[in-house]
Amino acid sequence: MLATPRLTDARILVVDDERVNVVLLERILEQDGYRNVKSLTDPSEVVALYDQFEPDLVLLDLHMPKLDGFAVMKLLEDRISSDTFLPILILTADIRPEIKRRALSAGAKDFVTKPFDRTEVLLRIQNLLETRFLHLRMRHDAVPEGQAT
Amino acid sequence: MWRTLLTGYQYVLLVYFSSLNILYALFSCIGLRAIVVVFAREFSQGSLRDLLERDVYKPVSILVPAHNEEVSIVGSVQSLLNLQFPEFEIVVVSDGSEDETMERLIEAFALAELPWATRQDLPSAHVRRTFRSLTHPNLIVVDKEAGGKADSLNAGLNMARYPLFAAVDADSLLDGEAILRASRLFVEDETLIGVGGTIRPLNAAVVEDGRVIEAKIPKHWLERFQILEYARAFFTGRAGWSHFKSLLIISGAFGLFRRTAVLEAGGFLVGTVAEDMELVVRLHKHFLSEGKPYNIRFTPDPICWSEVPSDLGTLRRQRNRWHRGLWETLWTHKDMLFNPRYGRLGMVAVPYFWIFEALAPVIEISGYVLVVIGMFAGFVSPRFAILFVVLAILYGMLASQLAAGIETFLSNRYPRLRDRAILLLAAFLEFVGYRQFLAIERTIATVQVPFKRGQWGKMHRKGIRSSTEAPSPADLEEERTPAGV
Amino acid sequence: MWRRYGDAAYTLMTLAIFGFETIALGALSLSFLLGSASGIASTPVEGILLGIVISTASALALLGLYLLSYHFISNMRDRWQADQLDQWTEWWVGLALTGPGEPGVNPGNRRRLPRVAVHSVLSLLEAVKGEEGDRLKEALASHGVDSWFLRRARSGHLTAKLDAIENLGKARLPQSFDHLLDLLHNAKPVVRRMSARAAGVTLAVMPPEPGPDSPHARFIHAIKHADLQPGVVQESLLLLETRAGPILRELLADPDLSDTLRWVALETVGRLGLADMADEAAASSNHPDPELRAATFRCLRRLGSVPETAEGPLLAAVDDEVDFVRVQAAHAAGFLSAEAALPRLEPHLEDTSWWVRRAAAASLARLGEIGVATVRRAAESHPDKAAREMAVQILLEADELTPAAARLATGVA
Repeated sequence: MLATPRLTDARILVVDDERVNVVLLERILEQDGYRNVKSLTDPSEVVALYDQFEPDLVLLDLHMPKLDGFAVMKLLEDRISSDTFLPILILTADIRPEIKRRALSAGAKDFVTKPFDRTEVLLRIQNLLETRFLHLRMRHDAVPEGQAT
Repeated sequence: MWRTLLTGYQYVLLVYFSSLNILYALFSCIGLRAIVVVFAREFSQGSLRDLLERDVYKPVSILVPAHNEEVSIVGSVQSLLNLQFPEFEIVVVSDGSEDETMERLIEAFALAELPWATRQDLPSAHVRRTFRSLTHPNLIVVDKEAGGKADSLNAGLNMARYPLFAAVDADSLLDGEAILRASRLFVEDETLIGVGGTIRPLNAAVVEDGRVIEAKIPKHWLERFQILEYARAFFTGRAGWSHFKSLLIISGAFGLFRRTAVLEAGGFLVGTVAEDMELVVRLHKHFLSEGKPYNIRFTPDPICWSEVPSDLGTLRRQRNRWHRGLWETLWTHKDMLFNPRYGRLGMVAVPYFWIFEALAPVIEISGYVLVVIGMFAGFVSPRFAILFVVLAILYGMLASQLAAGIETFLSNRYPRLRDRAILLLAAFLEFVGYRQFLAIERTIATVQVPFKRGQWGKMHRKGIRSSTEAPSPADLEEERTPAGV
Repeated sequence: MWRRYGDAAYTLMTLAIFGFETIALGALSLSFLLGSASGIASTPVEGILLGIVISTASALALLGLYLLSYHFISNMRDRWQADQLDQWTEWWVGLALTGPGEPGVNPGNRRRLPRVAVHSVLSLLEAVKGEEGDRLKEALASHGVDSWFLRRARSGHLTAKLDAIENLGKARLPQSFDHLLDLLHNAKPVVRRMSARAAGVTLAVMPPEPGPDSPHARFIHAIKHADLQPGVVQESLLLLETRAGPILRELLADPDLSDTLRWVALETVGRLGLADMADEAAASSNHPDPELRAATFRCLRRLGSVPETAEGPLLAAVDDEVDFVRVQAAHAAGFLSAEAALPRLEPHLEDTSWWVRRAAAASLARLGEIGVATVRRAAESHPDKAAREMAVQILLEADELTPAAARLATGVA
């Protein structure tokens, strides 16, 4: 039986091309107790870091030069198996409804527009992580004893 | 008598050289400040830009004339389809291609031949078939009988349905964001009828998914010189003219035009070798004669990336063609020369192009010849001759270095030290051989103008039959601005 | 894309060098002219020539060295700036999250903030709002950043002005609003354009105030009296986003509003999708200016709804004498009931204008089964060839016809 990991142990990956946004999110998460946060300003490194870090949650910006959020989601989609629940929270200044729809159908699990409210973002992160850990627990419980996960 | 003549000519040369360089210096500084520096601020990165570019743009029709392009057409169209632009269509016009161009397109894009309700705003060679892609609804392909590039563009305009259009060569790469900024210019200024963008050489650039990820300095010196040439021509020449609202030539460059304005002026002129250059001059003429307020400007935004010739033969033919095109255009509109009816254009810009652009290579070569003759004939002191030639070269290098500087400071496209050093070196080497070589070719072109009207070199024109349907009444864009432009 | 430091120095240097060269060349020409009176290449000319050659060569060397050394300088500077940016960002974020209680580690502790610090805090303001955002805005004000920008915005130097206006737009400080409105009367079009945008985004975050002297009212007054291109006014209104509604309402309700501004207002209502303003928009359906009639119908089409009061004028406009009015009316008619719209649209399948034919066919296809049936009938048996072709094309686009059937219908191989 897997001991329930504390939410604050969760591994969170922040991807945003603006260094300022990355620092902001890191400090907000830090202040709220999260200890395991990694960040990237170059989206092309996402895949490599994903394999190495195996995050529980990804905070992703949409509009980035070279490789935008949609492309990143596509790359990650190819990476993760279909029964993995990897929550992706989109943070973007784009308020167009069609962008929101597109993001959600591309695999994002939640969507927050910038400028965002700190409490709201933290709440959504918490919700997503809880769902993620629940999912992990269920998956672990579903595997019979003696078999590798 | 010869002495006096030659001495007089020497003086002419000196005045010519001085004026040319002074004017060049003037344009450089004005262009640099007025356009580039201001532009950098008005269109800087930032969420403000993102907010606006969501809604404030005009959709664009991209016309792609193609003749025997079986090798590259599918790749080119594919990269155009990947354009990061919210709303656009691509109209490929096959100009009587005899190779597999059409077959490859049909296969690659699931083209279905369809009857198309076309307008006939402009006459063109007979359109045999029209296709639409079942996989990409914004791709239209027209199979037309041969009639030349201008004719193909006119046929494309008949098919186009968006308020703006751009004509690109089959091997060009477009920057969607830059087009977005350019199309915004049309929304902000309702009198704007054309925008000349900047072309960057595509050679050696790293391209992914139809986007240029990284620009690199190519290995071949010929291509390196061209990087500088383009930078110099655009940032200083065009920018300067645009500031004075006399941008006459958008030649060999990327142009985004308002479709209704071009239709009003009669479309592209068939039978000339530089139809884009000719169009701009005619647009000026038309709107000036009609007395309608209008604007044609330049943007330093690099909108288009294009392969530049990497071998001498192709380069020679290209420059030959450009120079003949320049002459043809100027000659077709010779009534504008020193004609006060055309304001600043007629009195300043057109004469400038006659004297300092069209005639320049001839005078330059004659200068060298004169110096050599003079030295041997003994009435020009060798020291003077050599110093003069050296000065001409040095001054050219200065201008080239300015272009390299702009690349360095403002666009930061080649950030490695090695690249910058190479560019600077290119600024020197350009003037010890390359420029002179091109000047000779352009002089040859000047001589050939009366004999080679409208010829592209390898292509031959077939006769043009205008279509059976009469042109319909004045066309409308779906969005009509109050100025009616 | 474009970097913005080092350009001033470079421009100045270039200007100086070219200026010098110009004078030198002028002197050379002059001396040559004087010299040729007495002989071809007299020594004073040669001397000057030699001088110019040397100076040009030196200028070349100088500029070349400057460019090369700039490379190293700029690399170092970029790294330094990145470090500074990080430091300042940490400080600002700390201040935002915990409040200005303790002064914290203020790198520099200067009275005026360096550019990097301002860039950092403005970027943060784009990212976070609420309590944290307010703390940052207060910090900006307390450092006098806003007044500094305002001073620069009023300075004579163009690039400083534009920099300041751009930053004011990012900061969205209410205290800058009136000054931005003043700049709408500046002589330079680019200043007016940027100020209009900055004013729009600033007003968008200001709390609504009632009264005749509210920011809304001042904004409306300013755009009515400033010399702005319609596209620029439109941009500014679009940037108001959620605040645009009341302003547009007021504009459209004004009987003395200029035609140009009315056109802009209609466009903006349509683009923002303000469905609750359909009635106000429809009021211009009978306007004497055809451009405005067309704009009204285009707006209604974008809103996807035609209020009852506008039905009559709309149907009449389908037969308007001006072609582009017919086009927009035909498009909008697709949102009416089939009984009302069909009989008016059908005759226009053979309209003289290609655009009207297209709009009529497209709208018919949108009127449900009976509309599609009408278009199908036209595709098969309409006496006018152009009408048949357009009907076929519309059916194809609406996926109501396969390519094979289309080819058969029009006799294409």
